[in-house]
Amino acid sequence: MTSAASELVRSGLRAHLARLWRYGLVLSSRRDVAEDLVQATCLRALERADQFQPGTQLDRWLFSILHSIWLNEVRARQIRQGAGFVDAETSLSFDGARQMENGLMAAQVVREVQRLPEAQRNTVFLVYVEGLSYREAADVLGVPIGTIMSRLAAARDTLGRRTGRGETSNIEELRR
Amino acid sequence: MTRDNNAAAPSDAELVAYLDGELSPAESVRIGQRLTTDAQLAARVERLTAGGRPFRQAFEPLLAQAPADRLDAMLDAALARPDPPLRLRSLLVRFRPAIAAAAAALMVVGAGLDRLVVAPLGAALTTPAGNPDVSDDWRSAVAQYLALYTRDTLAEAGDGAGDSRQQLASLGKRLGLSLTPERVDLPDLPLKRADLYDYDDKPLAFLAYLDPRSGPVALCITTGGGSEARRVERRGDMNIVSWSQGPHSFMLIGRASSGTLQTLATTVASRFAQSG
Repeated sequence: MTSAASELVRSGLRAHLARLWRYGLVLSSRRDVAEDLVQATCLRALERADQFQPGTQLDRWLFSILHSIWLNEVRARQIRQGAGFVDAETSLSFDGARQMENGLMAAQVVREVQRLPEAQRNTVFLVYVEGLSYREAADVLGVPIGTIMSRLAAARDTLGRRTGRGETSNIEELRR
Repeated sequence: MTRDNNAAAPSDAELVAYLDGELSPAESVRIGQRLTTDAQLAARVERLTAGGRPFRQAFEPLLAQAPADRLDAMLDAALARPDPPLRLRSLLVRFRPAIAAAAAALMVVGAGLDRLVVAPLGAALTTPAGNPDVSDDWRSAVAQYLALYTRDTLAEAGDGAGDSRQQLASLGKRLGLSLTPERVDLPDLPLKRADLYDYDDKPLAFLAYLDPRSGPVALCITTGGGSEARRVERRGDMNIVSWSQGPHSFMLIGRASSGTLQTLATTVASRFAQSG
């Protein structure tokens, strides 16, 4: 007898590793921590594979596991150890071969997002980068939809004011 | 702009939801109409729009930076790990709502174990409602868990030797109890598995035997004593004999007859009469 849920998790994990790592990187700003987060997420997901609901999206479920591990187990330790949050600029560097104009502008957007307060950054990433609906993001983060809306509004207000001061003059070019 | 307009002015949060297409059609229309007449509102929308970025494209290159080889190797190792201990407590909680749901949950949980075959569940397996007795809980949890076992579950495991024997030593260490073959080998019942579970944050040793006549029989030992008196009961199609000795609680459970289990219980109890 096989369990559909367990099999879906075991066979589906691999396709999401890079995206989980990127989410871990956005949360922690550290590559090594991101890697640890992916590992812990995989172990937890395999442990609880029976709780996955077939018919729902596996990546959303994995995001919520990673987020809860970050929130409950890793974040406090990282701060306590004084590792702090390294500057996004050095951590999220783009390699030399990609230092074309688009890469530079992408790096600038990443930098802007990484400078937002963590809750806003987290929400912006899930909704605008990963494309989750407000409802899905609320479920992953365990907050009401209204909180998702107000975080996005605060983030866009901040970024909008920066645009207004001409701090992101190249952004429009990237859009084209 | 009129005062009336101000009173109904949407918040920034609503405006962002409007821009993201997350509002209902009716709300969208309401804000859209208002934008044509409310200059202040239009300015706010403009600022929030300016706060948009090509987020998805900007974060795309990071995916290629993921240490794909290491992550793959990590996942291979994780998939190869033996099954983690089941948490009997949570298993129990899931069982309570309805036997039908429980049967589904059992199949899901069961597939993680070695070719586990789900046995028909007796409806009598439900825990009596409102019973606060913790020792009752652990017997109930184990009864429900053992109900998952059939003869086939254990048939493929080798007899006693090997992993199970080695595991006895480490199980005993967790329990603070010496688990030697002399103590846990039961007459005519080959030991098939020895597993450690977590029950209410206490270690629970689960030793599974295969009775050629009645099927799976389990000897369970957990820490935390209780009533020393032997208790004999029946849950579903399972007979249970339980008792405590010093800081440990014991249970023999299976579809074997109550008399058979009581004889075994006497044997086991005498072997553990000397502490340590």
